[in-house]
Amino acid sequence: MTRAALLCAVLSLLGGCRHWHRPHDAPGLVDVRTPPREIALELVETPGDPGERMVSINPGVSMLSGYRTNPGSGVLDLGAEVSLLRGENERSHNDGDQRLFLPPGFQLPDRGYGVTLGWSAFRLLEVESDDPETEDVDESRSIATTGPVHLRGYAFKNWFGAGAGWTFDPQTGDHGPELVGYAGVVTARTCYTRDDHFEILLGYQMKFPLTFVQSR
Amino acid sequence: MRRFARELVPLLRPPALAALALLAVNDHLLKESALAGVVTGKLSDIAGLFLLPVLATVVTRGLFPKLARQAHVAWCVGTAIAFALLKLDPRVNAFAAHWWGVNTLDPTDLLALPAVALAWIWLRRTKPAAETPRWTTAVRRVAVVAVAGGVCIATPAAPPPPPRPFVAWTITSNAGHEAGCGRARAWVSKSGKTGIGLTLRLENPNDLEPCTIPVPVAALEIAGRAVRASVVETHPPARNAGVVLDPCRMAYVYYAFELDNEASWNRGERDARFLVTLATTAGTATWEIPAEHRTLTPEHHARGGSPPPDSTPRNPCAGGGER
Repeated sequence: MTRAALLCAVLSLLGGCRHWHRPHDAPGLVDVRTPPREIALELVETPGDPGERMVSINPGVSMLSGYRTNPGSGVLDLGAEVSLLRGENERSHNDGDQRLFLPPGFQLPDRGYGVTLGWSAFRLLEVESDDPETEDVDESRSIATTGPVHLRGYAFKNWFGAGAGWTFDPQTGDHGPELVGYAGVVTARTCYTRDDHFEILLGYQMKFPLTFVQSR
Repeated sequence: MRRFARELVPLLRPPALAALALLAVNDHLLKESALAGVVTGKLSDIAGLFLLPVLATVVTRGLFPKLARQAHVAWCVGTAIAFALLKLDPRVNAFAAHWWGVNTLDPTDLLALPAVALAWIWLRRTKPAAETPRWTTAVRRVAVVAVAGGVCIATPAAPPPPPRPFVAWTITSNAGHEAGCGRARAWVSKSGKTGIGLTLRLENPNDLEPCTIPVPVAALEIAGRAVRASVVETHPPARNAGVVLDPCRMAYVYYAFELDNEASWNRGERDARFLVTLATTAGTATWEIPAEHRTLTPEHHARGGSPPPDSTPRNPCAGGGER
């Protein structure tokens, strides 16, 4: 499992941030019934920008921490996930634009929706000791384990998004609904599984989108 | 934070504050004024090369006390190497342009490198504050670091990027055509998802007599289909007999071809021909104008600049024949 997690993470990173332009639907917006603005100029007018559509395969990694109940424990959750998303931009991007601190090739639509399959590949649970003799002592133990698989749908606009789905832990068979919210790289995730396991996590996610762009 | 703030004292001394002020004024006022030029570029490099290692060193000393002794060496050497690569290697420069902003690839900017040596010497001599500062002082010092970091990172606004290319029909061979007493020349003036606009210029090359040219009929033949055009505008307006041109004058006829041009593009139809029926001295003739659908880079309209010289009409009586 650990090797698989490592492989997922490495593949995510190797994917990098790239985008490709598809020529489909490329002509722009014109009103041919209206004469050109400068009829004497021997030029083709620049057509209006129709905007663009994007389909993206979006692998990434996440690092979240928080708390879960029953038994109460702190959680550090390192995961890998991949999303398939579709979205649109009102205005087409320009590869010549300067975008501070965004890697070359990074391209995601301004609004859209998608599905995410994720796996909490490594979990560190900080469990309070259940030994009655040490009950009064501030003593806890750490348990390293693998975590649940997540499948969810989500929608986003600009840097904000929200999603809902289901989480399933192959080791324990626990499963239940989960909710996710994003603000840029900051992510919050909460889920409720049977036996009253409730957890809420907050942290970061990094995505490395591979995006196909075409005109609208 | 108070312990961290204790290490920030070198950043509050006059040399660092002067470099900070110089960088801010130079990058955000002078470079955007009429004084912009070689001097502003070098000033920016000198101030930045002094300030960056100082800022990075004091922050490193504050966050990682165990690295305090080596921090200034590492940051000065690292800054010098990074700056040299930025100014000499086109790949590094292009990479930085994507992440940070446009930076001139200019080896003469390396003349500013001694500023790093000054930072090294100065950092060796400065020491942190003897006492841990109060909270209010600590907050003020951290604010200075934040401002300095912002000034180092924020580069002047980048020049506008080149306009996006777009897809349009263009005429591939345009030698013009005789049109009775005048001559005609055509070009695609609009092209988009819903159709194509063709403009025809009618010229009277005679400098003595007027010339009347009947408004030509135009059609488009694309992948075996024929699309008839409608005349949207004639400038100046045509009379019954056609367009009357005074000596050495020109007129324009604009035709609209309404078709699903997007579907045509998606089907891979890249070649077509315009068929313009003209009245000639020998009767009528069909002028076949080959065209292709391809990607173009806007040269004039997108940037609002001057039109390319070839796009402006010439006096038809000026000689030189048809272009």
